[in-house]
Amino acid sequence: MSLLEVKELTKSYNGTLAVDHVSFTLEERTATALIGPNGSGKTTTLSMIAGLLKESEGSIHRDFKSGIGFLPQYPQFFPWLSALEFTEMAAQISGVDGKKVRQQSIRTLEFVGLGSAVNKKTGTFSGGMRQRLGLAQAIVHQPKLLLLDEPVSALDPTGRREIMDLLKSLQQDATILYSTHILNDAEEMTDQLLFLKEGKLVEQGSLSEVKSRYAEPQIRLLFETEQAAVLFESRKLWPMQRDRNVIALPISYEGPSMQQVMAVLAKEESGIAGIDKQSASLEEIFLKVAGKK
Amino acid sequence: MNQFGVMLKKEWRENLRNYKLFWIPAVFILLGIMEPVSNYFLPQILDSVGNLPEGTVLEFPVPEPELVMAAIMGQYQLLGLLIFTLAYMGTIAGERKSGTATLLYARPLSFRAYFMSKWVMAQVIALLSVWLGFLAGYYYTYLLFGSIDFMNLMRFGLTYSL
Repeated sequence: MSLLEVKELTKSYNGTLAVDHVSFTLEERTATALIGPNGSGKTTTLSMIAGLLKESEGSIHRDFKSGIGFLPQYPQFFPWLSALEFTEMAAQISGVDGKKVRQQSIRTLEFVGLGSAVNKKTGTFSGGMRQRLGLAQAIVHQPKLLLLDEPVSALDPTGRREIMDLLKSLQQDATILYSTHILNDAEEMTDQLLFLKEGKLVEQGSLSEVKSRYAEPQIRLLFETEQAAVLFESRKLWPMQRDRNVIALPISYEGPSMQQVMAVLAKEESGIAGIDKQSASLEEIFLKVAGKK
Repeated sequence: MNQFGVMLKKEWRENLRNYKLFWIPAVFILLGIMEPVSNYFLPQILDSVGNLPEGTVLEFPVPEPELVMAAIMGQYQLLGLLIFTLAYMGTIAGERKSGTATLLYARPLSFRAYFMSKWVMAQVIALLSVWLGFLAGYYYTYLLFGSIDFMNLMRFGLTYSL
């Protein structure tokens, strides 16, 4: 069942289209990664769904009454408020029952790893702590839809891992739409990929669907020496590409199967040191889609 | 607590923690005290730093206490309003520019509650400052120029507050 339906969403600034007729749906309890190069319209799209920007055209249909949780790319807090005061304020504005506000705020801050900093002023927070607090204020009212703009881009690897683990655990109760340019993260937590380029949605589907559209699986042969690789290449058994002592054989209609390659290599002293099968990474797909006219 | 109450609490904390709740009334108290004091000591001030020619004789009538109180209000109209404008200008624009408002706007918060909380808090501090300054000015006027009918003074203050 779809939780959010975006139809022909468009945003123009003085005739320049920042988001150009984008349509997609979000199913309940799924994670959707919004990826694309800088300036492709990711933040504008999220801002329109969050209600911070008014769409120029199109519609956003939400099939739920509870609020949205929104985490901007660089969350800013009132520096004179403590983490608990800010989270409580966020909970109260979002309609959390007055009696539950304190308890729910403390529990949320503990959940994001700020249990020991509840009474610290936000003005003293580090980048990682701000991001955690940003997440806390976004989830304190237990929204059905979480919109996260680059939730981990400002964090170090440890912080990123922790926040990604938190987000994965949230997926059990909420639908998550997040933008990112860290493709490993997108690969790690996504049921649907939305690829924006120059404001247009140019790719859409599950990770495996997108990969299958762009993937060019290869068999990679690692030879002990470059001469051995040159010798194997000179036999011109199949279409192949050589990079020093590594040969890549595209698995396509004309290409070989793994069994065929293994059979050839087993017959003779080929100087083979290793063999593996690779499919295109999301980064390769990103570069292809970003470069596609 | 309704949205207005939540936002008013936030404004209260802000004004308390950035010391506006203290320094604005303090400036108004200072202005209120300065008017009767400078009026009272005007001959001595002119005598010592007035740079008047030798032998100048100036006769200063002692002002009525009511006129001193009216002059205090005159100061508030000019300097008081200026101080207040400088202290609160760009309150909403500042929050938008710094990005702190983003986390509020992304919630079901009415602009009315948001705006009214700021307006009401500013009015509370304005009235507090004016009354504290007014009473401090009255005390010094009473000490230096004599008493004023207290009820008349209250009526004056209330009318000004409106």
